[in-house]
Amino acid sequence: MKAQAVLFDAIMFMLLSAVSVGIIFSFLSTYGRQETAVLQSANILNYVQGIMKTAYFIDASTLYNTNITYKGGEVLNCLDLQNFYGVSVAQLLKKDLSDGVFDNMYGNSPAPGKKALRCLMYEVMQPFSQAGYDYHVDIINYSAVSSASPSSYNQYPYFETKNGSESYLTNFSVGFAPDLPQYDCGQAPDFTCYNVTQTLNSSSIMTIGTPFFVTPAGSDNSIEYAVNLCVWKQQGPSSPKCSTSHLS
Amino acid sequence: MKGFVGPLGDDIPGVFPIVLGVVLFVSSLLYANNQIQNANAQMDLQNAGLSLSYVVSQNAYLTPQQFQSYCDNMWRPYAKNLNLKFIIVVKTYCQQGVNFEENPFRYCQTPTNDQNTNLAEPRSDLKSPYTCYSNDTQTINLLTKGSSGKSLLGYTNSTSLASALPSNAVILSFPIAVNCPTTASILQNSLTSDRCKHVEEGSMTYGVGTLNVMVWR
Repeated sequence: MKAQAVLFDAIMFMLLSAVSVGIIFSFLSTYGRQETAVLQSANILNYVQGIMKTAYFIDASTLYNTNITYKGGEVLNCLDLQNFYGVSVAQLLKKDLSDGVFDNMYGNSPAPGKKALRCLMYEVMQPFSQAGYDYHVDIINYSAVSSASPSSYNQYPYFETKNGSESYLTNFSVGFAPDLPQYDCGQAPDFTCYNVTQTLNSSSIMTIGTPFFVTPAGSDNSIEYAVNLCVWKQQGPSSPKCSTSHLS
Repeated sequence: MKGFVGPLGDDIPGVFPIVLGVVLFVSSLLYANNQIQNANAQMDLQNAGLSLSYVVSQNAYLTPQQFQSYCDNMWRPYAKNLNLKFIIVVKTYCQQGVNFEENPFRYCQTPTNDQNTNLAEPRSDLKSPYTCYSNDTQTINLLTKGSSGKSLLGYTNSTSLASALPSNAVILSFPIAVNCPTTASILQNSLTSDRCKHVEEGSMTYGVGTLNVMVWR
C-alpha cells in the first residue's frame, strides 16, 4: 500500500508540474505583445509625420512616372505632373484648394494638387500597403467644422483615398452629407477617417492630422485645412470596398 | 511483508515521476527565462532604434554637409549613449517610383542592365553620399566586406541582403526628400537604363527617397 501511495503522490506532483509548465508557456506566448504593438504604432506615426514633412519638398514633376492600378483595372496616370517642374506637392495642394474647390484646378488654370497628393501617397505608403495595412487620406476644412458638432465632421472632406491591395475611394463633394457608409463606398462615397474609426475595429487604427493654412487670392483671411491620414490593419472582407468611379 | 523490498525500495517507482516533474519544471523555467531575456533585449533594441530614428528623421531634407554634421555631432554620440551600432543611409528613388524590395543601402535604383549587380565590389556610385555609421570594426566590415565577402552594397534586393545583416538588426525606413535630376532632363534624354549616374547632389529638384536606419548590438 505504501508503494502505491508514493506512486500516486509522484504522479500528482508530475501533473502539477505539467500544469505549471502550461501556465508558463501561456504567459510566454503573450509576453511582449503589447510592447511590440506600441513600438509599431510609434514607428508608424513617425513615418506618417515624415510624409507630411516631405510633401513640402517633393517636386510634383518627379511623380510623373507613377501609375496606380486600382481594383477593377482602372489606372490613375500621374504623367501630366511632369509639367509642374519646381512646384512641390504641398504648393500644388494649396493652389488647388485656394479657390475653394478641390478639383485639380485653380479657377480655369490647371493645379493638380489632388492628383499630386494622391500620387505621392501611393508612392510613400507602399510599405504599408505591402505590409497589409490600408490607409485613407482626407482633407478637412477646419474653418467650416470648427463650430460644428463632431457628427458633422464627415460633411467636409475634400479628398480621400484608401489604398490597400484591392480598393480605392474618393469623394470630391463639399458639404455632401450622406448616411454613414458601411462597406460600399461606391454607394456612399463620403467616407473619412472619422467614420473609418466608426466602422472598423478602432483598436488598430492610427490617425494623424496635419494642419495648414490657405489664403485665397484677394482675401486677407486664411482658411484652415488639415490633411488627415489614418492607417489600419487590413481586415479582410470586412474592409470597406470602394468605388473607383471618381478617379482623377 | 510479502513483496516488501526495503524502506527505500518501495519508493523507487515514485522517484521517476518526481524526477521527471522536477526536470520538466526546471527546464521550462530556464527556457522561459531565456525567451523573456531575448524578448526584452529585442524590445530594448527596437526602442533604442526608434529613439535614434526620431532624432535622425527630424528633417525632411538634408544637404550632404548637414547630414555629415548631424552624423558627427548628434547621431554618433546619441547612438553611443544608447550602446548601439548603426548604419544610416539615404536611398533615392526619384522618378522611378518607390520599391521597397530594393536593397535600402544602395543610393540609387539598380539599373536593369547592371552587370555587376552581385559583385563583392559594386559600382562606387551605388554608395550613398549620405552614409553615417558607428565607428566599430563590425560596422566597417559590413560596409566594405562582410562575412560572406560582400559589402552590403553587393546585394540586389532586401531579401538576399537579409543573410548578410547582423541577426538582431532592426531596420526602420522613413520618407525623405532627395536631390534628383530634373524630370525634363530625363524625358529629353531618355535616361531609362541607368539613372544612378545622373543623380545630382546639388539639384534643386527634390524627389522621393528613404532614410534607412539600421541598428543592432
